[in-house]
Amino acid sequence: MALMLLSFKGFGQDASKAFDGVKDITLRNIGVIKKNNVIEGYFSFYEFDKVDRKTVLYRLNLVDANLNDLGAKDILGPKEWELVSSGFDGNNFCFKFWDEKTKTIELKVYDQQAKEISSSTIKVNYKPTGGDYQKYSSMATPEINIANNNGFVDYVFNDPNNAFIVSYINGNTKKVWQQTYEPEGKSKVMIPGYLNANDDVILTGVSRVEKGMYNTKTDHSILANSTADGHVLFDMSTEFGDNHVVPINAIFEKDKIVIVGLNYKTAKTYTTAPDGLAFIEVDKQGKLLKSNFKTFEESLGKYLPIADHRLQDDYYIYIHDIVRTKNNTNIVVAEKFKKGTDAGGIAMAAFSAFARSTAGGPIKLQLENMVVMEIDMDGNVLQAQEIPKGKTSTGHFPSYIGLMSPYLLAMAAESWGWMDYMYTLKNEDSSELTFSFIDHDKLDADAKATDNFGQIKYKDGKFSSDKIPIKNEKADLSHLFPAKAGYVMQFNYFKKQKKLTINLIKLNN
Amino acid sequence: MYISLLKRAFLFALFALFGLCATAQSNTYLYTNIEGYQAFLAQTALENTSGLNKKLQKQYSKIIEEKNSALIKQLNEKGFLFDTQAYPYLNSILNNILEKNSLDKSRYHFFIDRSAEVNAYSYEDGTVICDLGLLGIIENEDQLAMVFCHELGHCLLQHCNKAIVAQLEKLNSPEFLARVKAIKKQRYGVNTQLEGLLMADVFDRRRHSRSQERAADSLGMILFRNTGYSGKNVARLFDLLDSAENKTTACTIKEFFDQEKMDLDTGWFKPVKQMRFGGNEKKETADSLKTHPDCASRKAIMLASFNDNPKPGAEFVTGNISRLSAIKRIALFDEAAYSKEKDNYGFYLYQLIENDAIFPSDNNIKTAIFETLVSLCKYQRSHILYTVVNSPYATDDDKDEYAKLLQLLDRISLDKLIRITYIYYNNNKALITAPKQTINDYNTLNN
Repeated sequence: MALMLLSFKGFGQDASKAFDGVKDITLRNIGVIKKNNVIEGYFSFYEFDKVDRKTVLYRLNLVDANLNDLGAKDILGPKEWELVSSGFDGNNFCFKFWDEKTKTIELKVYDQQAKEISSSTIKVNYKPTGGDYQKYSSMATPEINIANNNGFVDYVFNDPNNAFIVSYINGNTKKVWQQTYEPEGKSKVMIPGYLNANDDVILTGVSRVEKGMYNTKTDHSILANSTADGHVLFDMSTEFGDNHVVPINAIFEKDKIVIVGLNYKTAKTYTTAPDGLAFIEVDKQGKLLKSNFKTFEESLGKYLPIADHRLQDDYYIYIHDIVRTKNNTNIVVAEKFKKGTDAGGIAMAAFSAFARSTAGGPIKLQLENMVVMEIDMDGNVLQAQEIPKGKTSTGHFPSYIGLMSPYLLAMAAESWGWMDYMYTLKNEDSSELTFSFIDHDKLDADAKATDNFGQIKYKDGKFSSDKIPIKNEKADLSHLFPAKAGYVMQFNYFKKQKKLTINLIKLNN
Repeated sequence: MYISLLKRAFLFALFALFGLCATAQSNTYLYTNIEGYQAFLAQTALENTSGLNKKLQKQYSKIIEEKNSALIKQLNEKGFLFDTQAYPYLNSILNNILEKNSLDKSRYHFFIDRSAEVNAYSYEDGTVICDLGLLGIIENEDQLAMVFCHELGHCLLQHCNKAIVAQLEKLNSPEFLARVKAIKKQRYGVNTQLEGLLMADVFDRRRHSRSQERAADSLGMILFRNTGYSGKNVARLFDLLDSAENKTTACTIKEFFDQEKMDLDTGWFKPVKQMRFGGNEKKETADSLKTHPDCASRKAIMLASFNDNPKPGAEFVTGNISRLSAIKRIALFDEAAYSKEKDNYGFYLYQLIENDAIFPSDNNIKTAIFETLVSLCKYQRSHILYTVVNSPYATDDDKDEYAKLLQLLDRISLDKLIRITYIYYNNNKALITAPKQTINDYNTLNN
């Protein structure tokens, strides 16, 4: 646990806050309150008092995205409690608690009067080695997903190989349900991914790897649960002939659902590079209406030299995210990389809680520029740009996976937080989309290379980018935190003055 | 828009009527007798601690030393105004009250705090301070005199001093110490009980503070009756204080953009939905935390007093409406200058936009707006805008133009800010007399 007093209470209206005389006090958790890709604020959760042998009085403080105080709430809970994530659906707050001792996840919904209005508890059957939440959350996304301003969706592993539980909780309607999804057939691993939800349906992308030690074949499908009671509306495979689609995003239109994903010409989607993008249209019952597959050669090839899924000089692009714009186009954010064996590289853990492994073989990935594209709903690339980024390397891969395909290594690197792309955010009306990344480069021609935070912004049909050094040059320690679109939050610690400052830094794009 | 134009025309006419040309003031912020004042503060502290036991004396002295240091720091850092117009005028009002009440002038000091807050305050040593922001709402000299009488009431009743001593006595009392010790010995619920104890103390002090405000009003009215001022309009002061938070603006931010024919991005002004976590406090809790009684109840008491026993007199005794208007204008300019000195460029720009609406042809204001826009571009380009502009805040008050400006500065891109600066410069270059460095910075930005 962090050992600093980081209560946000009393932040007032200043963007820059100073805490004098910082002392060692245990803070349980600190985190972001999100509405899917929108940062709505931050929480700090700390142990306030011991009530009895088993119970602790916790204090939960919230501030908005501008660090203005929103209020505080005292909550009774078990001794080994963690607040792992938080969401805001436009009306209510949802907090996800993890009880380490009982391996229980509890979703609690509070209204804006800080009154608990709903809750849902799930006992987790899955027991990873070591058993702590970090290991658990590395398998199941800890983020709470927001169902179109009306409720929260969460996924819990029931059995990591063959089943997971979809949970839904709504503070307004008081609807709470849990549905276990356990399709026929066994798999090595099964991972749910939230696609989208509205008042009628919750869409989940399901990825499964077939059983067998050396089997790398995957199955992908879309699970649609009724928002009202969780019953399965449809469960459709995204294999269409020789096209194997990994769904990334889903968009609700009047009488149909448009699924955007990566298309592969093989079932080995974890070990090969995608062939291009897929746009699938289905009706509300999951019946296929239209499909459109366009290879990167056909589309992106006009902008970047591509052959056999690679750019020139053995470079690949790894697609991190696909996001819908306000104007019904899609923005794809990707990162250029190639397999390498060179030594050196940077140890960049400004955002990531995962330390880079140093033990391993000689194989690593060389990471280069970011690539952004705007694509219409027919898969035509409207514009594409490389955003310059310093050449960096991932950590060394363990020798037993070093010989695997570059794309699988990239996938592993992303899951371990080794790639330079960090996250996608947007503002409330999606008129601004931002993609953040880590850079190691000279910001000025005559300056030294520094570790930088970079941001690509899409606004009014244009891409722009800006970077700032991660470390405040006067501080002994700097740490960055995601902030509202166009900003990044920088914590600076000044050892001599025992002072902590928090600045909301505006990027210039 | 029309109403706003009328308002602007009225304000301009008001200032023009009294022959006020909008030129820079040669204000001074230098207090010539800091050493004497320090000696006075030390002597007062000594007198105030004479009756206390050693332990309390030490704690009391520490509190007072901290307060005195802050006061001297503010004096040294140009936090108070000692000009040749506002200071002598306001000081003469206070002196007149002291004389009419046969109070020893050497026991009191008067300062003008350059803050834009609508407030006046006093200390245990007899220092009475009026914020520049208060001058913005005052209509007549008698209202100002009533405020000073109220502050003198606090001094004469030794409210500050008594509150500090009472607090120290309570915190050092055997009962209180035994209670804290007993709580700390417990295994569970220690922090909750300590917080409860603290809150009970806060409620107690706030309740006491409200009764002190009423007492200061009562004594203030007695002091006021000994002056030559009329009591007819003074109760209106509470209406003015009550509405101070909804200060009338001379110009909305949108009107400023329209006037300068600047392109508006509708997203800049899109209201933010206010989030909360925890409802409004229960009425009894909120009331218990107030330090001042409601303006309405104070007004009722004062009205009743002056209705039952009218106080004849004049609205102005030491000055006149022209002199009051002159210092109101000085207040507008100096409050803004102080924001700049405090590196609060966001608030400074807001104050300049308001002042520009009142004095539309003032080359100093035009120049200052241009310089501030150039500075904001430079700060934003260097990624340190947060050092000079406060974060935006959500508000239910759609007349809060400062909130709108902060929101605009929060959302505007550097390119657009440079574009706005460019348009502003071209619209007003005939009146802008910026130094060469600012023009160079401006040219660099545009390149």
